[in-house]
Amino acid sequence: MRNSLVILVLSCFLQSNAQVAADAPFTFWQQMLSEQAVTGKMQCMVFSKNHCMYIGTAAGLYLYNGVTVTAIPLKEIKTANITALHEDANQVLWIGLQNGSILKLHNKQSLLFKPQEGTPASAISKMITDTKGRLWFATKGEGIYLQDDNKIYNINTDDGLGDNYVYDLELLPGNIIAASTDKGLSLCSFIQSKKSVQNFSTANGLPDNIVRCISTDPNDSSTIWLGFQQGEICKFSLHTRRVQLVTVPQLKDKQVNDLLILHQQVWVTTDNSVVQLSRESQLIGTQNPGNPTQLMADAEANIWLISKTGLLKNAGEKLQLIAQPLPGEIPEIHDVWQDEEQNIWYSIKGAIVKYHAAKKQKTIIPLPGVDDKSDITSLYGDDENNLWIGTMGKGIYLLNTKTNLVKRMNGLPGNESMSILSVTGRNSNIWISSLQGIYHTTVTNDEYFFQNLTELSGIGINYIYHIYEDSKQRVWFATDGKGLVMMNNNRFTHYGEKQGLTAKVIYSVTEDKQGNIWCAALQKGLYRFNEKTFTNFGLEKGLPDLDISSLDTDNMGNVFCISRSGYFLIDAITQTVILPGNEYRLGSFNTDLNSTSHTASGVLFHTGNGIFLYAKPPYQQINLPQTSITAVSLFLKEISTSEQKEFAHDENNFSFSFAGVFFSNPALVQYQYKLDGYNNEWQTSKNNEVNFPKLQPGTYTFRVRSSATGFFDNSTEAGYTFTIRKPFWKEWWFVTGIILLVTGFLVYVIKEREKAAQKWQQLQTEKLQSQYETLKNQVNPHFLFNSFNTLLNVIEEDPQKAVPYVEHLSDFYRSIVNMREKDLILLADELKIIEDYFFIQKKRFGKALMFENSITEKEKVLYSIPPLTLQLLAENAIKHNIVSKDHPLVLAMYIKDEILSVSNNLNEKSTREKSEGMGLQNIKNRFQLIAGKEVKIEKTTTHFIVQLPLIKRP
Amino acid sequence: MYYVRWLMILWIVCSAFVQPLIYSSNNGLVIFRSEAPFELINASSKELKGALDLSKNNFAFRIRIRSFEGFNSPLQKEHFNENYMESEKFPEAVFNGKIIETIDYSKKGKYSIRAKGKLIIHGVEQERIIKSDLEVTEKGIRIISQFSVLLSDHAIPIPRVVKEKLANEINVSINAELYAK
Repeated sequence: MRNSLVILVLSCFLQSNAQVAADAPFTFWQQMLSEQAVTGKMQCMVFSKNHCMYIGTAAGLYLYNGVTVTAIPLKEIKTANITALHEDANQVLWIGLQNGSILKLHNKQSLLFKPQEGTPASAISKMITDTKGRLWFATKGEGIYLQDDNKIYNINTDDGLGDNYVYDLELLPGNIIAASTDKGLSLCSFIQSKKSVQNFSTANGLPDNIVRCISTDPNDSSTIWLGFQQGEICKFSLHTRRVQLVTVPQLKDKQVNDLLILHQQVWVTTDNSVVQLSRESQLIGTQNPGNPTQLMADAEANIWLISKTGLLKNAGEKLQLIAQPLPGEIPEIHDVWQDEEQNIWYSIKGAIVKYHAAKKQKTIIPLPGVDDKSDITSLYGDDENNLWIGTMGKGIYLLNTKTNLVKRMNGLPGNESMSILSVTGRNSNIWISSLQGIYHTTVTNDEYFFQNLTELSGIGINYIYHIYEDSKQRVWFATDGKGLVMMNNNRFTHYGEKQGLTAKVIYSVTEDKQGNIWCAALQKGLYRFNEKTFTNFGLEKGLPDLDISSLDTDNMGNVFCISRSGYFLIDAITQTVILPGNEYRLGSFNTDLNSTSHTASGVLFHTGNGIFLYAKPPYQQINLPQTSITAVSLFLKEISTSEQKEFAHDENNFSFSFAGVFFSNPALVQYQYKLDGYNNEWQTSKNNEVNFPKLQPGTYTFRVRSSATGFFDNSTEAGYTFTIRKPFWKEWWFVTGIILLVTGFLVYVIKEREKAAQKWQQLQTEKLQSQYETLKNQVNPHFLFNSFNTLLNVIEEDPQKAVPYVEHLSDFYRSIVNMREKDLILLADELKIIEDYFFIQKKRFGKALMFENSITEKEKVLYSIPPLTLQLLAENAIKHNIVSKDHPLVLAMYIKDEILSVSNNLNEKSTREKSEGMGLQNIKNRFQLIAGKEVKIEKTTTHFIVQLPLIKRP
Repeated sequence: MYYVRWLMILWIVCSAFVQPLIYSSNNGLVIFRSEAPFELINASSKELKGALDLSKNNFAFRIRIRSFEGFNSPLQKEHFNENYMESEKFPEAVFNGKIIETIDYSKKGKYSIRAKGKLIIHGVEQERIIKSDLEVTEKGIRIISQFSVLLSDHAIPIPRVVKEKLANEINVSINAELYAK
């Protein structure tokens, strides 16, 4: 999608004939985009508020920033044959198509313009918005449309419009729209739903009816310029309605494609030429860059042109080649001057050349006595039409610029052999620096009287490269070895290291519009003096070269510098170094000291290619790269910066593309960026992209600035602030919640463990107690005594039977010993114990003790029971009841609903056997602890029943 | 349908009294000429049909491509119709539009005019402004014009083999006399 084409910036001068060029100064067109750089023929262009250029072709829309050209997809339509482009105040780009459709592009989103009234079927030729924000669009066949209050109105021949074929629209004061048609000029307005049209045609003095283009005049809001099909151009006064024809023979019978009215010039395109005129309609030059169509000036005051070969650019009025001396003359030139009548004066060997570009007049005025060996070093023109000429070894000459008469300056003692380094002046003062001393005089029509300042100055007979009188009538001397010396009311002040001027050799001095004094020093760059201290301007401030040979001020009072690497400026207000442009074809720079001239229209300087005039046009708004963020991508997918400012924690890979648009010299642009919140150091880069992967949550501001000099103070900056949210698990509420939850859980677990431990402890205690009880019972002397008595009887009656008895007794004790440690045993095992027990007791009580066991074999293995529970109950029954033949004790056990009931008939002893009553309580506790179940004890008049909840075998 | 018939009758009756406003021709002359380095090709047709509406200053002309005669050989004519002009697919060339200049047709004399309109040749439309001479005579209106047509403008391909024999720029001249209906 990103169709980036690196465009070779080709230096292309389109008028190749040097001989012709010598006669007619011209402008160099530089090819910025070739026709192959885009798909389809280029048809229109417009500059966006962020200084980029939109280009409409027969097959699409492109964005160009001086370096790359990017296709902008227009999804709504199949083929975009773009015939008109317009950006309104809200930065909405309006795109008019050949088929009459209109698209809107805002924030990179395109949208088909679909008013309910429909759109035209004829090609859109021009779109403009008036001061009320109403969109006007012209069609080739349906007249003019305008959108007001979301309604579309049509102004066509039915409403009085001259013709329905409209070429061009222009917004005039009072929201009047000038329209050019096949039937002349129409001035239209739409006030309170009332259309009004005024037509002007050949009947009103127009030279032709087919008006192909209209252009407003930047110097005069009451005048418009018209270009016609048959090659005429005219000025049309909106006040008097008068037509003033501009006769240009070079335009005859060539249809005018476009008109560009500048501050001092008028540029016209026809099918095979670009014609450059002065405002006074004098021809400056004509060229053929191949089918030129639309002309436009950008905010840097460059001029752009769409031609068959592609997109061309030149420096426009900023930089003009005003004279091209013969190749043989160029090395001989040491100084240049321009007088009020636009004559250009330059020095060659032994003579002065006077050249008038428009008149194509060239006069060579020899200086008597000046031969090939004595160079002419300095030219200065005073207000009385005198050109002061300084020579090496031949002194000063005076040339009358009107009469071309030359005379030697006689009033200056020793003039015949004087070597002049510099002649300068201000108002009527003339300052001469020679190897023989410093002289001052005032301009007169009479005899000249010279004041010798050499002794007064204290500088001595030394080289003084330049003498400069400032606006406060102070005179500055640039010395070779003694720094800067200032003379005020005949008092001299020396400036040096004390004031911060660390250089000794000063070449040149000037004063900017703020009143600061600037001086150029040998290998030290510049110094700026603010009446207190000197500040050095070196490479670190963006100066391209430390050796500045000439210093001057331009027409706007900014500092103009010449060095071997070219010319550059320093903005007087911001003190920023400005590189005005990549001026191909300027040729090598002359390093003669103080070889520029300040004139009313600008600064004159000469290079290996000719004499140039630099002037800052009043419409130049920009002289520094304009920074913008062109795209922000999240994981390499572009996002909308206006809509998306907040991102989830894992949306953390950001890429930024940016541009520093500087059409004058795109190759010089470099960037500095930083991501506030990530790092605080500016990173310098030539790259226009940067990626930040894995950003931590937080708020960031991406900041980028661009510069052509490497000096970034005062540079334009663009930024984008965004937030990456913390993941929810890092939010305070979540963290707090989790801490609370974990704490709660821990507290619960600890409590539970405590409970379990307590329970276990209790169980252990109970178990021990039970064991103790049981053991105690079993070793109860009563039991033993009874058992041994019974054993004795058995031995006596039948010794054979004593053996099983003892075996049972032994089994019983073994079981007790074995089982006592366990928490639970099988019901079957418990019953085995009880059987052993009953066997022993039955020997004693015989039939008086009966045991009814209705527990099935299946149930015996299905359930578990705390050990010795039944034995204890049986023992209790025997212990508390009378067991006799008359009152037999019947112990019954049965299971119902998982409850084991142990019952015995009640026949209590009157004398109760000693009992701690702890047996039953122990059973209750153990059941509670092990199974969490309750043991029920029921005592009726006849029976004692204990209900034991059974525990399923694990 | 009844009132339509009445309207037509009314229109016929009215037009009988009003000065004629529509001038037309059926046999205008069209000549074209290709001046290539190695060959000169000439062809012409006398079947130019055209109409001029004086009230609106509008015009329409058309010519059947197959009606061109001349050429240097019958084979050349065949190539012209089949390979270049594709006369089956695009049987006619059309030019219609308006006259820029305002002319007083009641005054006899020669006027230099510009005819602006859509020129359709080989199915490709080009907007053209064509300079012509218009002469108001006793009998009617004569139109004489000379202009050029670029084959490349109308997507008519020139094979490389005949590049030296066929010019891209074809000179066309028109001479038509239009009479009142």
